[in-house]
Amino acid sequence: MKVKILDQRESSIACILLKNDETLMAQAGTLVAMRGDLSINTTLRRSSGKSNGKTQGIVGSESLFLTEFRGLGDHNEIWLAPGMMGNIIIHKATSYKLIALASGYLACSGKMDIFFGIPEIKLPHKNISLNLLSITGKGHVLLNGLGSIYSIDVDGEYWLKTDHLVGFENSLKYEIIKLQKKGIFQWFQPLNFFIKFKGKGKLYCQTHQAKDWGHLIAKQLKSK
Amino acid sequence: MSGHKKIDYTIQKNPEAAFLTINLRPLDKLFVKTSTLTAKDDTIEIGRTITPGLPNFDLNFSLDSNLTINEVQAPKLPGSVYLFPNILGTIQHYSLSSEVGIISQIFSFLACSENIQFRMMSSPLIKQISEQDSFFVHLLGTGELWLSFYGNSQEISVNNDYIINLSYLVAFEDTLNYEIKQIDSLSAPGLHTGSVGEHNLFCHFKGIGKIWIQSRHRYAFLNFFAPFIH
Repeated sequence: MKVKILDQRESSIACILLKNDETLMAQAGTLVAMRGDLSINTTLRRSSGKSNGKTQGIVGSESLFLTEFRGLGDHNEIWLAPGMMGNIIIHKATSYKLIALASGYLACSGKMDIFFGIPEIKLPHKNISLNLLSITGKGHVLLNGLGSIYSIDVDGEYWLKTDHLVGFENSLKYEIIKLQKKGIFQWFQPLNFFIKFKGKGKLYCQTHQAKDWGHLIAKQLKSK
Repeated sequence: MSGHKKIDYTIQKNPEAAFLTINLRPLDKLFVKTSTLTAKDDTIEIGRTITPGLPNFDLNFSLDSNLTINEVQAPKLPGSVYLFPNILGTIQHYSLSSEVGIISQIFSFLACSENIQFRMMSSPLIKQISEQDSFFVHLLGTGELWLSFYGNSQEISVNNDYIINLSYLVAFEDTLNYEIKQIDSLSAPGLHTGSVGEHNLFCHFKGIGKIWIQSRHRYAFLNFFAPFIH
């Protein structure tokens, strides 16, 4: 499997070359173009439901439509693009598993396994939900973000706002922290959640976030 | 009609927010999409309005002002027209020759020189999938053509066969054979990738020719906001 990112700018397309019997797991609905002999199969993946008990923040609707492409000949090409403006990066997974936001996941090599949620995470508030995927195995993972994606090699401690998270390597220790000013006005302030990373590993962040922007536009549209 | 004259133009701010400036010499004529015509010099006159191939075409689409095409000309003195596409993205220029025509989405059409003919695509399948402003026109003749793309543009040279998602398809050469179909295995029961404009239709091209696609499709932006509204 070879991956090429076309137009590494604000609206990239991933071009993937598949050989015979190689597979690719892609988020459904992201196919732009394809060529060659390919067998295609789309399935719904659901979480096993384990993560509902202790980790109250993670919502129950953990499901993902995935399309599996399998090469039947030697020259197959698949082009994938995310829906929104943003670029794509390639993560080469080696010994550590990658934890990625479900909305930031675009595709990965078919040999890898995808699980929902990470059981060890503790969410400090009911209103926060993080739809996370654990991707294990060796291979390429394609991640997309809103705006531009940048990677940080964390060595030590690093804080990131949860809305800007795309993915990180499991070698990092993480903890979700609520930041709120104390006092009478705390009820009126939006909740700010940060993830504190510790250790050594790769972290992927996006420059823009969907939540605030989406709510802002939706509010304007509703009032019409 | 006189032979093919080169038209002087500049495309600026490619690929994020491109706009096109066309410099017309005296007596030059152009066809431009009216909604993109943002500014013009005083010497330029706006001529008659054209709706492509109207007589032989069923009016099951609403032709609003978004799609009307106007003639512009410089009757005496030279001047410029400034065209800003309706969407953010790229503008590409093509030199059309008489041998190969281009079939393009009307939404992506920006401007062309005067000796290019418009023909509505009359194949029943294309009509069936055409909705509102996303139908295809066949552009024939010798001259210049400018198309706008949402996001970046990619050129694909087809040799044998290629399958393209219809939402991303902007234009293709008429030397290609095509078949529009739904690929069932790309969809699963209950899968609803978006609310508007995502119909899981693909165009299967065969033969030799070129295809131009855009890197994002314009309904994705709308579908992005849909979950926030409900």
